[in-house]
Amino acid sequence: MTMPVSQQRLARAFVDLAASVVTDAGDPTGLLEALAAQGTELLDGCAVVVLYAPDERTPARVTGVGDELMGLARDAVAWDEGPGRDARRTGRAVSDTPLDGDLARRDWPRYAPRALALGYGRAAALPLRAGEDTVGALVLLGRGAAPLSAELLELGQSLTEAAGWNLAQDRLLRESRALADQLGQALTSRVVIEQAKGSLAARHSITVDEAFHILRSHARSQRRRLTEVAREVVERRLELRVE
Amino acid sequence: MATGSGAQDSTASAGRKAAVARARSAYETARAEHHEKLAGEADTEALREAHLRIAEIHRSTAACHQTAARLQESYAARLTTWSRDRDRPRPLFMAGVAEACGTSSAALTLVGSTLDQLALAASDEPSRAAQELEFLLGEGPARDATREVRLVAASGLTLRDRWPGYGPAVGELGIAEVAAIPLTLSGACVGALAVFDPAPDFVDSATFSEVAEAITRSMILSTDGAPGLCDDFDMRALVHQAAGMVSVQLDCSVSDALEMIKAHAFAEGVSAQSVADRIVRGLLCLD
Repeated sequence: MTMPVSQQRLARAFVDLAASVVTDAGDPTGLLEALAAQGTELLDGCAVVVLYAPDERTPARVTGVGDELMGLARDAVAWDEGPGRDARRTGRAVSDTPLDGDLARRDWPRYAPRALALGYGRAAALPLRAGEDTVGALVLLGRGAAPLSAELLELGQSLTEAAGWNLAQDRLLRESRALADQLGQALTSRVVIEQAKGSLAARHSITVDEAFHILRSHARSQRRRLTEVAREVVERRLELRVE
Repeated sequence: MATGSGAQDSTASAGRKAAVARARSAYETARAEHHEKLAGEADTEALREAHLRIAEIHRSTAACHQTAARLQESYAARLTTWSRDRDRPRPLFMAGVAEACGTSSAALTLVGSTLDQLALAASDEPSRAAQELEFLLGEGPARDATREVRLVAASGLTLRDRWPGYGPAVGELGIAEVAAIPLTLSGACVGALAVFDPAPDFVDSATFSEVAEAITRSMILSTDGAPGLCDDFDMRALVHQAAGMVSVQLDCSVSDALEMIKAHAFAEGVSAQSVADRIVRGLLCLD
């Protein structure tokens, strides 16, 4: 028995999306482009847009192939409507929807007519998940009125899962690096403060506890971080007055 | 600092951390099962293997959280037993870590970006003394493990060959074998776990790296709270105070001052803490 070609290609795409390392920590551009490209290639007769909006602070971004399609995708973000936005918001798939139907016209009053004008008749969207969070969506747009097949949606699901797994791993990696940095800084800062206590105590013949109070009140009155003040004292760039 | 409420807080905190670790382990297991199921349904060999590989990563993460949960639970249990009988010394979290490594002597060292020892936790006197030797001499297994980011082990004569100062000195403590494994997560190395005279074959077992990863993942680099992995951590506050003082008295940098304190301690055969204590109390002046 020979395997359908699409399955072979899916397997390769899946492995690529799951295993490709997000090169710059925190910058998923390459992965999003790969998902859009693999989707466009594999999901025959279907236009594909990747929407990425991990949180409220990060501006939403869209990836896909073709000027008209990207124009529609950017407008959807600006209008805050469309299947991608819905899948991203709810974390659930938007099933195959006719764009000239009542539902589409009601929920996507600007998006649906524009998509129809570009020749798209059907739309669906699959949530892109990193761990437990939905961080975006894969939008599928079908030309003409023929419904998007269940196999097509399943293929899309597989691709988004692979990309989402990669995003989750990348996030874990960034989180642990940030935590390691924080830990190092917290420990180093403790060391510098102890050094400054000793340095101040020796300079003014006071106890280390008294020295700490002087450091702390100086930092408070100057609204500066205790660590910075301590570092300047240790490096003798700052003389503190002792009453 | 070992007040009654402190012990209760520690017990409650260990219990909470155990519960978090159990939940994470369950989540990772569920992810693993999901991918194992997808692997079973996969139409091609490549897809099947990809899912199995992903499942394996989740399984190994689950195992780490499981180990972390066991360490916290055993710590909580020890604290509870101890709170009924305060005549004994307060149990150390590190004692449970050592036990999991098949020894009574284990120590954790945390390092900063310069790989200097910034904090340490030890399970008993020999392990504390061994870590002190590394601190004083600036050489030893934990230092090499963090610098080379790989497991370092030595016993018998290789101890002396590898570390001419540390080797003989640690031998005098009655320690015949040392091993240290870096505490790393996603390429970030935050320190090392060292074991002394471990059980035979322990060093090459999966348990060593599993315990190290459990400590790193669930306790040191955990998103649910400060790096308060246990109450045993010693920041050597007094030693750094003394370094600050000596730097003023001798008009030198604090790092030079610290080296002088270490050298003095090693020459006297005492801890840096003991030298620092005399300096801070004005009983000792280095020159």
